[in-house]
Amino acid sequence: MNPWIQNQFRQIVSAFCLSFGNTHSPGGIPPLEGPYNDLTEFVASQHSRMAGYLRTPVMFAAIAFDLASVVTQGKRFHKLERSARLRLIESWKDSRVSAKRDLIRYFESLSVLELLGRLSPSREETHSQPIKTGFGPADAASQGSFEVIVIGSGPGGAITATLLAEAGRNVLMIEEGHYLGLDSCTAFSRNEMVQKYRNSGQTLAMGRNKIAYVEGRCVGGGSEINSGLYHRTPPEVLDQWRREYGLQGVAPGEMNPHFEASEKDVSVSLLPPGMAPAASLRLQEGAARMNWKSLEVPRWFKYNPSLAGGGRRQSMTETFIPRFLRAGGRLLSNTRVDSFRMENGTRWRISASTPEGYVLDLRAENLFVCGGAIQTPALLRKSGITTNVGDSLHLHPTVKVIAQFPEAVNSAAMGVPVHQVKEFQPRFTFGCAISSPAYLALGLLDHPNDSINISSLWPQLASYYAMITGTGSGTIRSLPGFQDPLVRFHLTDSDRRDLGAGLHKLCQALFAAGAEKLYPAIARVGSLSSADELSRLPNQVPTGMSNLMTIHLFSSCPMGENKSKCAADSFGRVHGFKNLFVADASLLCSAPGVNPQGSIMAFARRNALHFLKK
Amino acid sequence: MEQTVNNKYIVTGALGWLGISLVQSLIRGLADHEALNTPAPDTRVRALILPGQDASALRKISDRVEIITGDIRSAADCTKLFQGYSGATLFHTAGIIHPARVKDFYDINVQGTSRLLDSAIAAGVKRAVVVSSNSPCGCNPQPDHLFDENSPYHPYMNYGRSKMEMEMAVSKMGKLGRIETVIIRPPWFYGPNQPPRQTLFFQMVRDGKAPIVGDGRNLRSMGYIDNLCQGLMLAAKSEKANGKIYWIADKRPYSMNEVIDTIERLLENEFGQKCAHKRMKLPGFASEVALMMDATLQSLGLYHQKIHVLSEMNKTIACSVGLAEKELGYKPTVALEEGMRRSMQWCVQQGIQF
Repeated sequence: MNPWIQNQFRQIVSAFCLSFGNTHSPGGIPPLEGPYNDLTEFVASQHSRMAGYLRTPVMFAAIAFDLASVVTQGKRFHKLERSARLRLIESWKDSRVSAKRDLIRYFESLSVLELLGRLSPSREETHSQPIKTGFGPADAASQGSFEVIVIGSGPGGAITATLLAEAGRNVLMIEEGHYLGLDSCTAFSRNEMVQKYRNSGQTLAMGRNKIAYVEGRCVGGGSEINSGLYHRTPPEVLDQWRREYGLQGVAPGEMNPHFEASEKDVSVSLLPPGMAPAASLRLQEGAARMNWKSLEVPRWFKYNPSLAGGGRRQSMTETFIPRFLRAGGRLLSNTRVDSFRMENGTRWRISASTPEGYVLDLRAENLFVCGGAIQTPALLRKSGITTNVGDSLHLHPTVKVIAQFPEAVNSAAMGVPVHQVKEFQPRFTFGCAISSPAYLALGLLDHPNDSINISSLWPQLASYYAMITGTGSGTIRSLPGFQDPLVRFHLTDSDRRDLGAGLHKLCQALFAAGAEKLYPAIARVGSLSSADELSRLPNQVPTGMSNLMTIHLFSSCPMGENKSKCAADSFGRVHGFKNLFVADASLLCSAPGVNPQGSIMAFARRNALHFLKK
Repeated sequence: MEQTVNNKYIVTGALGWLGISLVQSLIRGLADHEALNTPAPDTRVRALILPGQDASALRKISDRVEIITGDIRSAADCTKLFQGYSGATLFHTAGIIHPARVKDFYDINVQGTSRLLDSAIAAGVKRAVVVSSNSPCGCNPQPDHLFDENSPYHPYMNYGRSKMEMEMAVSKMGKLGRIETVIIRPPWFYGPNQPPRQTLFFQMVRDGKAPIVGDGRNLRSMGYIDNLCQGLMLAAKSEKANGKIYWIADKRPYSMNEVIDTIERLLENEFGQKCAHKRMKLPGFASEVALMMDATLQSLGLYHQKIHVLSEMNKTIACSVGLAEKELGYKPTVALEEGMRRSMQWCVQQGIQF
């Protein structure tokens, strides 16, 4: 990119940061005092980590925005005085053109995330150096050929690789991200986003309603960054998959041993009494007043009240990755597989590369693709395998609301909320979300007219979500010349209605729980002060005005014997190939309506054992 | 770690505006900072001056000041400068800002500094405190923006580029662990020992010829000379400072209007000068024209001081001293009015006519 353009862009970023920095900075906290150049650095570096096909348009939109103010203000935006800049920003926020609103929101969100993140106590980041395994690209190159190569180290890949290595197979597991472990950063912090999320957390499914999603990009994948809430696949969902996708071997008697083993492997357990976060209990109380069914969701967590944080969170780097390494498996992190192809009709030949420019050419008898619901179909399609691949992405669209209570419900040591309201399952589920000051501030961006001092009020605030099972679907396509795939998702009218209804019911429960004000994540609705005002909520979430997100993505390579719909057979083998497998969320035939990681783990175990039996 | 206390200092550019004030401060101490008000009695300063300069002003300060004549463009002179000064601290204030030829920027500011540091390393000098400038960072992108240590390089013209290259060379030597380095970025400075160009500026204000380009509300950070000396001496002492860059200036930046109004007020009310109460108001594009002329001249290898200064007049060049306050204990005690008053008093004492 031309250095002049880059410099212009940087100066524009600086102008945004300086404007937002002064607007959002909570008073009285020394590190938040100007001059905000570190904020500019952060925002510019986040922008540089966006997907290429988003990065360049954002840059040019910002430059166009900057130049346009010459017409109205006589100067470029970034040269204006602060008050003139703020007026211009306000007018763009209210623009009818969504690109203008989105641009402002992008910069404002990043600024808020960075500034408010400083309110949360963060442990010294002393472990952010990757863990060494003593195996690097040169070792992989010299060995050259493996019995099994597993691409991706999330729950699907890690469990597959571990079980195969423990059965004595010669396994190489390749992971694009670094091997960091749980102690490299504070959970749900900005640093975690930078270290462990794909594109530093800036991933977006395009469509009339854009849906922000996140993917783990580190050894352990999504298990390193999620809350670890655990559900088995609901039996009626398995039954539906059997009927519609021809999925075999999913009778309760066949699946239960896999669920039970996974639960033991990652210590799925309920909270010890008295440890539930207040904000999470509030939702349960509200549901009880409405006579709605709610439950505490077990987590993968080793509880031990004598430890800080009440115990030790579990993840792949705490469980399967060490097991894999002990069994002699080879882990190659910080290495991206670019594509693979069949050689001599028998072996797979895999091209991979590292950011340092190391290029690898490896061979495998059996190849398992476990990159998750977005990366797996993207890699398969890049490698020429396209039948039913990346055509049927499903996800759990989610809308949030922030509730303000008359007393404290939130604290720095809040921990992970665990209660969910299941009264309306499978249509929608409610729960309490991560409620750090930074996330709360992001949610409150839709409510600029309620001037809320987050730095003093945040203990009374908590974030809640309504998550729908959804009927829409999406596609994943690789774009020539870009590393990141284009993800599109079409939200149906029925999804929009479900989201509207889910939000409505969630707000009812929160008022019943004693909330005094609610801030839904829909622009221009305003805050709600009592249950009477719930009628102001739209029946279906509006296009373009709602901030939707998801953390559950799947079904992009569905499994089953129905070859008109499925990319892989009932045990994850890609149709038409003898030695190519998928083992991750892509296989789940449709949205399960519950946190999917239990399903991913059970199917990974089931399919790996099936592979070994052959 | 137990530090070997060594009270030997080397000051380059010792007859410069900053250099001579620094030599004075090292010998006599700085009264308004508790960490610097009592200099060690065995403090010794070796002062580098150019051949042909008159060293009497330095000799007057103390007999503990030793004069070395030489040029940092000469390797032999650099070697001579550090002889027997193992464990000492180097203050490198020599540099060129308004040369006749563009090439001088690089010969003196970049190659000269590298050569000087090479000799310092060879002689076992412990730490080099190197004076840079605001110019490697250019002008602030917004009128309310302040530079700090996170600001990226965006050098202003050849001077800025030469200082940027100098900083990069210094940091590189520091990273190799061969010498401790601290880089100090002072903006426009003022105070006693000022050069004639600053006195000329006072005269222009008095005669109503001070140029105000645009609305004059653009901010400029300025550094009173004793504040800068304080920053330099703290940077020499602080363990934390090794490998870092600090902006050193007065506590807050001033608008151009504020600077010129203050000078005018002092001249008239305290120094009996009759002022014209006028400004040479130039439209904002005058600076842009000067900028283009300056750039054109510099691309031809030529340098014109007045055009260069005019090109900067409507720019915002402002910094934050927050990190220096936090990490060095920097406490700038003199601000614009008092600093300008002391400059004028110095002029009067020296018999310099406004």
